[in-house]
Amino acid sequence: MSKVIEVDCSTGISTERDMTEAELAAQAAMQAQAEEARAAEEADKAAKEIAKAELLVKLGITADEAKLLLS
Amino acid sequence: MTIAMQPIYTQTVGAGGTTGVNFLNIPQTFTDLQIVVSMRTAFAANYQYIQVFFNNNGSNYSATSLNGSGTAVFTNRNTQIEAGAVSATATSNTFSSVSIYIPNYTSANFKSYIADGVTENNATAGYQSLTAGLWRDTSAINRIDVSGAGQTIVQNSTVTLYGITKG
Repeated sequence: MSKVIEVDCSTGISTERDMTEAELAAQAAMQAQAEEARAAEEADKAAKEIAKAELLVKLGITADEAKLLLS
Repeated sequence: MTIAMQPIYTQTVGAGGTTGVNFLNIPQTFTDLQIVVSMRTAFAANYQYIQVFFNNNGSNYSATSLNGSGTAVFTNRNTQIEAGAVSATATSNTFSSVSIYIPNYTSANFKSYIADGVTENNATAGYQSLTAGLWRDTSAINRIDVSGAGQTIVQNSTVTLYGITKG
């Protein structure tokens, strides 16, 4: 997919056109950036889950038992 | 005081999808702008982003988000405008709901925005985000580009631009 929709708000006319080379390059960069951000979020989430699991092991309780203690 | 919210344009994505929806020549006569997005992308992953640029400029954004994934809560800092888009692995016929509010878009100050978004999915994995952001640029906003961050935006997704006038 290399089409983009352009809406001219001054006329209310919507047109679809092929993306330019520069836009395609920018789009690829955006995609890479989004992938990077998503990977970072996933890594952060995984690290937190591991830390939580390690804490539970240290405390010698299960996640359900921890919930009961905090309720 | 009167407050009026006027739809400037609603773009519905047609058959075959698109890569982005760009609003050009945005009127400079309102006080604030709001973008409302209902989007699904063809990306085969649990989560995909909507990306938004002002004035065809991908630089000088800073944002702080509070997020939920259905199983975890987390925060992140970012250098682009993002909110959730439903991806191809989510329940069929579901779309994300996103709102981005941009106050004082014609001012000569830096532009702040708030973005809130949720994805839909008949499963545990469902994403929510609340983002406070700043575009460190003093230009009046006259163009807004909305994309699926490089992914195809599928048919029946909609992007609406509203102008808000404060009396």
